[in-house]
Amino acid sequence: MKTVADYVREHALFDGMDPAQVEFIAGCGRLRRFHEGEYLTRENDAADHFYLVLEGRVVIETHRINQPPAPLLTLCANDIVGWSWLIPPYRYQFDSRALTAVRTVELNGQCIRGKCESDNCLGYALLKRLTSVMVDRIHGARMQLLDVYGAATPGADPLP
Amino acid sequence: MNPPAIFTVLDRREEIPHTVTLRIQPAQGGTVTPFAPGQFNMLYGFGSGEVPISFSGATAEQGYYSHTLRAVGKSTEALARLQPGDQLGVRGPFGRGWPMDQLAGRHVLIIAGGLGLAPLQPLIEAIVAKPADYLGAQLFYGGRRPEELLYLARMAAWRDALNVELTVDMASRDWSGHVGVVTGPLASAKFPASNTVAVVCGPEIMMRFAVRTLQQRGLDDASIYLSMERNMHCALGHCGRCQWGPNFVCKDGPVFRYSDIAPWFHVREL
Amino acid sequence: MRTSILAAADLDELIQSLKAAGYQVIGPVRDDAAVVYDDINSATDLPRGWVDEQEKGHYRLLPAGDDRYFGYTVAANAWKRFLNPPRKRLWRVVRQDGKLQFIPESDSAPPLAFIGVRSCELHAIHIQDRVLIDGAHCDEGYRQRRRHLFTVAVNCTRAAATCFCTSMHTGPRVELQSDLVLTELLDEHGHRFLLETGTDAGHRITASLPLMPATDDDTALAESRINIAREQMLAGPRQFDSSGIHNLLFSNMESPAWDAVAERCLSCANCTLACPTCFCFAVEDTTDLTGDHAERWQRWDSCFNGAFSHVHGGSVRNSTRARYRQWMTHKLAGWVDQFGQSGCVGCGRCISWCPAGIDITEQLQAIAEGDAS
Repeated sequence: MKTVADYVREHALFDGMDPAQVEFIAGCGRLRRFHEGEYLTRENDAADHFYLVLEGRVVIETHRINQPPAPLLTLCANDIVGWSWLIPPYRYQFDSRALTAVRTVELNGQCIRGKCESDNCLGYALLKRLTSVMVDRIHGARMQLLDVYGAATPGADPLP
Repeated sequence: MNPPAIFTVLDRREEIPHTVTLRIQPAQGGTVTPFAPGQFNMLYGFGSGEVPISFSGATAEQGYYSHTLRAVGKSTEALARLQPGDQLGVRGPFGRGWPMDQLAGRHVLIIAGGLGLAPLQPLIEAIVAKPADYLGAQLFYGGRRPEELLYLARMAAWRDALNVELTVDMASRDWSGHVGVVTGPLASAKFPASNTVAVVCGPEIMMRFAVRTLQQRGLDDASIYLSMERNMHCALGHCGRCQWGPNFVCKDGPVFRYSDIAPWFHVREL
Repeated sequence: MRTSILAAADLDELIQSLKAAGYQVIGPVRDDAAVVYDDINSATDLPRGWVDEQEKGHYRLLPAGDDRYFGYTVAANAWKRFLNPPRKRLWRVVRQDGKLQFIPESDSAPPLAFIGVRSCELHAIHIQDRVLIDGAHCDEGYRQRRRHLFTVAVNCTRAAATCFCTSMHTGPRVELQSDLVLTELLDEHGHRFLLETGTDAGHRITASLPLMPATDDDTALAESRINIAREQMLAGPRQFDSSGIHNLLFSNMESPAWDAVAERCLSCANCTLACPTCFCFAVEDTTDLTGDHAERWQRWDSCFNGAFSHVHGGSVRNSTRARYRQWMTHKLAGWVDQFGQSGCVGCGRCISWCPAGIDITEQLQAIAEGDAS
């Protein structure tokens, strides 16, 4: 039977990380399943957790008056959901909702913050990995803004 | 430059707004010159110019060609207006296509953006026809909105042979695919990097991001292939317009191996 | 190779012999203020007694003070216009009841004879052969004209200031095959040509000419005259080592020198039109007012024009910097990869005919000075 630590170690976020550090982080985690349609996070709720997605798909979305919620980004296995636990005032910025049945490792934000404060090497190692995810998300958001598919690709007209 | 061969439009299918697929056959009947996936024809609409359009459809198709094109200018607008029975001029096939011999026995990552799926369709159909010839195949297809994705109906048949991940920039809540960038699902996809070949076609900016993600995922530059686009008037290597660094896109491409063109791929205004 | 002497007074007999053999004879003529290549009927059409003065953005014809026929260096226009016309119709197409009928253009011309082809120009013709004949696709009209071309080459005995064939290893002595090669000699023994006959066609044309045997003195004099041109270039500012250009340019695609030249370049395309090797073209499709007849024309185009690199939405090379860089890197570097040799023959036309006085050899120097590697 796989332990929480096994799942944490196998997740892409921790790929290649010092096993002792992974073990230490896994101490803040537990396995958690979500049904299709269930929310992992709700905007403005206390950001007590973040999730390592093991299986299934999650959508980050935001709600709008008089319109259905707008999907912003979908995430799947090896992605993470939530980093508001890291930044005061520790409140979720968006909703995240399970699009399918989802299996996760739920990591307790307060617990990890405590460990990072007491072990700055761990804190730095983790922050580097989280920063990389954030940078990818920003790059992705910029690409989405660029509307790169708006103009056609092949089959172009060579005449002005 | 010899005059084109005369072809007749067999049928015309509007794929998405402003984008049609024409099936065309020689006006005199008979067979057509075989093409390789990734090659292109020069299509001539009467009096309104000639444009390079990749082959879509399966190479096994006998007696006709399929071309998907978007109306973005005078020439493509004229071609997109053609109706069954109308005639057009065809020169081709031209260019170097996808490295089909390199794909056999390996895992194939197909990464397409927008209309970039069209030149990859013959490659996909080849895999779908003989999936056992490949270690595996995954299609990552990105577009602006779900209603602007090509070949959705045909994709149902592809899913038996390859894993299909659709990603759009924007969607409503009922969209079942991904929202984000095409490289998102690619970043977490499972494939044997050392025995994988990636074929990429889409806007250059999207191809740049795809190359970076593929490199991060452990693919070497010699296992990444891209299809390039430049202005082209002759497709014979004579008009000089499609030059890209030391390459002619019309005859050295349009498909290039990334390791061969990496220095040029990042030069601006080349 | 047979070497003989043709008296200057008998030069017209050579032209008449070519005409009698059915050739359309093209050679240098004085057209207002410049020597250009055009149809000639007799030796009197030649720019006898004129020399050219060329510099950056500068071309003047001056009296030579002697009677030499070929005292000028290279004409303003290149021979390419006769082998690969600036504008030609490729086909016509008729639409009737929705059916198309293509009518190919017959691309026939009488055999051409060029008189006064310089060594650099012979190289330029060979370079265009590589592009238009030797690839997977052949320009049939060009090939026909080329196959029947008769060349009367002329060894340069003087270099213009803009000449740099010694740097590009394309002259001044004619070394590529030519039907005939002339070296103009003018001294106390008279005005005459050393005539080298290099082909069977050359023998046939010269068979009826009043030739005299060449002496060793004549041959030595010819060599010494060619050496004058060579020495003028070797001592000039445009002599450089061209061996490392390919790598120099391709490793300096972001050199600040491109920005500097772009400040001056007008993107006017003169250099590409004057260049004897530039081959790029556009095709244009037109219809008549009835909408039932269409034509396709091919015309020279230039990488300095915005539409040249247009991909829907705009030009790929939007800036003058990118266009100049494309022209120069293609000419001197990409060409080597594509066709196995440089696309520059050192004729200097792009220097003389640049209205901004941009000098490709100076640009090379600027890139070399900023070379990061």
